[in-house]
Amino acid sequence: MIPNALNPSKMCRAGLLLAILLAALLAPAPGFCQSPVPPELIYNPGTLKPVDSTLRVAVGDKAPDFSLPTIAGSRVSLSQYAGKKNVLLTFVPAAWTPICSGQWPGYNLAREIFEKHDTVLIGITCDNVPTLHAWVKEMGGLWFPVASDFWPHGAVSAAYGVLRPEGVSERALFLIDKKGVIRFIDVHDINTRPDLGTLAEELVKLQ
Amino acid sequence: MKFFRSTLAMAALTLFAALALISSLAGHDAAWAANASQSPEMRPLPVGQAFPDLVLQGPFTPQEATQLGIKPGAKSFRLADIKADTVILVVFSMYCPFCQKEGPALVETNTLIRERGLAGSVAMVGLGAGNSEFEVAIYRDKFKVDFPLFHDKDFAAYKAMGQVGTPFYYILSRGPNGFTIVDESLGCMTSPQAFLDSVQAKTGAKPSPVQEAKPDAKAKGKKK
Repeated sequence: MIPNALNPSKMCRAGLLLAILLAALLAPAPGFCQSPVPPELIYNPGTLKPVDSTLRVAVGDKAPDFSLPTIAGSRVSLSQYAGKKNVLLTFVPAAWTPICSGQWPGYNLAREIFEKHDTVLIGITCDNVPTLHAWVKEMGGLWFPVASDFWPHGAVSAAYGVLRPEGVSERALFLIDKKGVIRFIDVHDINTRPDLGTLAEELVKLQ
Repeated sequence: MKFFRSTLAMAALTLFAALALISSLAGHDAAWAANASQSPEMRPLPVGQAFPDLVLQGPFTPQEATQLGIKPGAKSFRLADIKADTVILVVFSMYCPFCQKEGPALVETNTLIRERGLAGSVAMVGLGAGNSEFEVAIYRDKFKVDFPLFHDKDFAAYKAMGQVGTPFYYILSRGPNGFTIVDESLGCMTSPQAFLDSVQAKTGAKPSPVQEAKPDAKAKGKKK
């Protein structure tokens, strides 16, 4: 007689269970978008309220200045570009989330378009510097400064009116000219990526 | 005898578990491929299945219109109307760093197609998943891509082809009822030469004269 624990039919069932468990463990997480960051490192918040804040600035306003720490170990301010460069502030909600992990790498390929219009980018999230450092490394690096609006938490996002109740920023673009005046604002649906074509049209208008 | 049967049962369990693990890993091999942007909802269409007869949206560049055999200004193109019997369809995104890395290899592959006399039998096309017309143009201009690239801003075609990671390659062969998937892979190719060798081995594609591209009724979306 075969011992109960070694009964072939039970073993088959155990093997089947093991196979199902393994398949479940290795199954991809829910979500929808391609990301250069491995899926097991991505936190998918699901579909969120498209916009959940109220703007505190408008096109034509002087853009609020700020000074934030960056992942390069330095600080970046808006005023350092005054009279020299146009600035695109690109707020994204959070590191290690689906859309954000795909948005900024596209700005690498479009670098020449920004430079052609004498425009620098500053990427901002409410994450802390070490988190941003790891995330950007995982993305393969970016050519523009990535700044942390972590402390005082979300202060810059709040000044522009794009801080959401959960403490992350909107997915928002602010195009600021060399005089420090806001020329274009896109507080985008947080669940989707802004089209570069629209932004390029606004860059042309800066001339 | 009892010992023998126990040992056999134990061996069976071990083998079953090992096979389950290997099978599970193999099933996710594509998802774990190096040099690829991942898609959590990736469900590639299986090899052997008919490929959807996608209607891809224009506008098309004059070069693309010539390559596709459609009138300049045509608004759409049906994949089944492509002239070649073998199609290399690359799903890409200009936002994907791996697709950015893959750009030169794509162009080199198309050059190799011409050099091997395969231009009449093998065609390359690209689909910019979630990319607008402008975003696809950035990719085309950056890498001087010389084969048709389609945009797919609303992910419609992307969803129809399994929401795959990028870059993803579908190798298609024409059959009596349209194109069938004969091979597929996720991630950057190791070399254009090896990639094209593999395409030829899987499809049997041989040198063939380039078919005249004739702007005709197909541009209006008529079925063959």
